[in-house]
Amino acid sequence: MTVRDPQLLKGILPTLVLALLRREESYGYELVTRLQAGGLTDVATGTVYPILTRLEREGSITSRLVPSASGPARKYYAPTTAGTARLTQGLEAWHDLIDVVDTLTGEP
Amino acid sequence: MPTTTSPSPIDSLRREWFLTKLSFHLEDLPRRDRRAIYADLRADLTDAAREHGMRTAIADLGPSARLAHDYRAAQGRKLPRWWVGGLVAGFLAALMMFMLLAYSVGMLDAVASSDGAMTSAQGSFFWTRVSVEYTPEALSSSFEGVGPLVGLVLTFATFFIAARGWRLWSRRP
Repeated sequence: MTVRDPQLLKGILPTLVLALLRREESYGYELVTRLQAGGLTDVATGTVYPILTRLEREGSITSRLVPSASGPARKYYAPTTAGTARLTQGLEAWHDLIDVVDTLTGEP
Repeated sequence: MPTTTSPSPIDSLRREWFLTKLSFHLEDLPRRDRRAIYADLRADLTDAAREHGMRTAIADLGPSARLAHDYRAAQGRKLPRWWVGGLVAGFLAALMMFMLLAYSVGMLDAVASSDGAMTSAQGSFFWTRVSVEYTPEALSSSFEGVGPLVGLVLTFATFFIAARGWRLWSRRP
């Protein structure tokens, strides 16, 4: 198992959150399980929830409440137009960074 | 142990206790934001508890202080620290009242020790006129003037400054 630097994950996590929400809207805990199922097995719920709060405050995602028969209402998140643009920028920055790292380390 | 429906009373208590601990660290957030966070966490903890149990769901959130730190950081700006302001202003107010009380008690003691030569005295302490009376029948002190108003203004100013109240309008992280 690869040990991931938490700071590395912290930087890319908002982009990953936007990417998953663009595919399908999710509520908080469901988003965490999707991230974990995608390979981020050590991502904690306490890391993801504040990111959702920040993205919503910044206007990158929007939310709607859906009543739940077995508990409190769930808040489903989806990206806004600004969030989709931010996702595109984030992915471009990520790929640019990969290219720089490959260049500096001599890896193809 | 996974649950299939609503949390048990014990799990609900565990959940609410965690949210209470979190609230101690989130006092500086606007009330509406705090309530939204608690509602979201309540729903997400309920969902997580169905798969992993409430203890694990809460443990996965990490320490309440760290979670609160991340939520405060998510505000994107520095927040006032109201509890710090309250603590410092409260200390100042208590100190001022203590000093006024000590002054009046000192005046009473001086009148009492005069062996009847004096039965009353007047003095001034921080814009407050202090009058004391000491007789076999009566023991009293009274306060007049703008001193209490000055004290109130000083207390509020101290509260605002100590809490860094100007951060209310801050847009810088």
